[in-house]
Amino acid sequence: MVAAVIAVGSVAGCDDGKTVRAPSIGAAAPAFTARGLNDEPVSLAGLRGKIVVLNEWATWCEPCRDELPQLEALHRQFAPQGLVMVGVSVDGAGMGGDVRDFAQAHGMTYPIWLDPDKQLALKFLTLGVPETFLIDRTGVIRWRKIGALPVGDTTLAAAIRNALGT
Amino acid sequence: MLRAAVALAVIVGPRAATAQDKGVTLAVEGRASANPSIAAQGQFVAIAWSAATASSMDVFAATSRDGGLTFSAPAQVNLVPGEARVNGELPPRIALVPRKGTTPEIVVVWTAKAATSTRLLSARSIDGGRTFSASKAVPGSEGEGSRGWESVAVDETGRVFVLWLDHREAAMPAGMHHQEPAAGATAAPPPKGDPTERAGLSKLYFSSLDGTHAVQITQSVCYCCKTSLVTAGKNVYGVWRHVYPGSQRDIAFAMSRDGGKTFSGPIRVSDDQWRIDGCPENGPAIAIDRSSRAHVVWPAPPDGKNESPLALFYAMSRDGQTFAKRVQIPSRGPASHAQIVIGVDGSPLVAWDEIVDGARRVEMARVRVDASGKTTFAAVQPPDAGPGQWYPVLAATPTNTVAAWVRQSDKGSTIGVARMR
Repeated sequence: MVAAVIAVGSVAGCDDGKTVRAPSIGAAAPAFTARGLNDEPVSLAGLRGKIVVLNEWATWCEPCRDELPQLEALHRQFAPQGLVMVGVSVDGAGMGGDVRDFAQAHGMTYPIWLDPDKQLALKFLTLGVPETFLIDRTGVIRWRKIGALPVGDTTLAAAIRNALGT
Repeated sequence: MLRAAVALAVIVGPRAATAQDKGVTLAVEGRASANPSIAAQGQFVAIAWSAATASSMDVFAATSRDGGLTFSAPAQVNLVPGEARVNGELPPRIALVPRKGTTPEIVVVWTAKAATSTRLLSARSIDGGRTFSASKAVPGSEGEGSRGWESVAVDETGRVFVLWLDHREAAMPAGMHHQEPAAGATAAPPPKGDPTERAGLSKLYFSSLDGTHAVQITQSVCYCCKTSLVTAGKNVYGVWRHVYPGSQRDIAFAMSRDGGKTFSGPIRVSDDQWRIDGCPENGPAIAIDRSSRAHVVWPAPPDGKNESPLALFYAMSRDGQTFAKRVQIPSRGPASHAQIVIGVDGSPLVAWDEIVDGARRVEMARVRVDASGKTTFAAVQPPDAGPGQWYPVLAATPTNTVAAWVRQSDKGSTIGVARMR
């Protein structure tokens, strides 16, 4: 049997509906588990009922470093109102110490989860790092950013306020 | 509907069952093994990978003298425990330097932790991989900031070259960034929020292990995608993901015709127009065939849009100056971590991982380009088609291709190795 894909020249391909796509805004966030910096099990399910910002990052990622001040500022601003900011590090296995040191050196005061096997990337079909999701109290994705937050971004803050109902 | 001007290729035939034997598993007891790289010289095959505990990571290597059928016990490469800082796009790289009448010299290059930064180290084995020398810094790789995503290649004289991404200037305080001004021009001011400007601090460096310094080939390279380096005769070829204006992260190519002294280009392999201000962590790979044609593979969204699943693309250059229009390699799910090698029959073999049914799986295809430039792909049965397989790497012996990859399970990760016809 020949399995063929049609060929040659410039053609428009068709989305046959079977194409695997990342969960979109308005879709339920996939289940995701990781380990905390003290090797404790953590999960998105454990944060159900809270407004969560999930930020996928790595210590070696320059654009990730650039957006850290904005994320930390949002954490400090909205944590008292119930926001949970989580930094999910995809640094390699055994790098928890590096991640902890980096977080301290860069003033990251929000929870850090370790995901060396890139389960977040697998479940959420992320494109790389950084990538950020806002998930509401019912576990629905309400905002997503592929790549670093632009300097002076206001969209995430607005989305957080909306989710908090403020 | 996807609207992308691409040339789609034909998949011909059912999957060929090509695994030659059951394969072997490489692992270090009590550790998570991952991030392999592979090299072959004759029937001698060497694999390097990382093995991590809960709190540290080291580099290991194992060798085969029978074309990948059996392997030695792993030997630790780095002498300083826990110094390795590697990942899937930044694996420890292994190369073989031929020696007459004996096994090749094995060279391993890896990224290691430095005080407040990372550095590139190399070590050699002259006893078939049983032991490794003390490490030495790759010339020109010392400095502040991070570096890595290196690739290595050996030329016909036995010189070992290294290509890597270097972020030393990104580590400098604002106002101290140095950019090479053109003659008569003043240095540019420090980049601000613009991602393309910011990427200007990410540089591509090239060095020879027997040299004293590194050469900067270009700047504005994507921060964390693997590079790929090969040699053929006196020529040295490199590919990487570049940051073009508009933060478009497309694949670039450069070559040297004088053994690495100077490089032409860079030239843009394909105008994918993939705009993303982040690290795709998904670099290209290159192979040179017996006719000196350059074959490049890489992932990108077909329409350049981040909302579209990653596809896999291939392009070929006959002269190192222009590339034919990209051709999409069919895949079932979002494709990543492409690798390519020239197989025993002289045709390229491509390997990658993709996400299918919620799991990572290794896939492979053989490339055929006829005299008119028409490209076809023949699906190849991967050695392990099960879930939890990723980061494949390939090397060719005179009689077969050897594949290695990461096997992930709830119990941890190991390195699978198999010979392919």
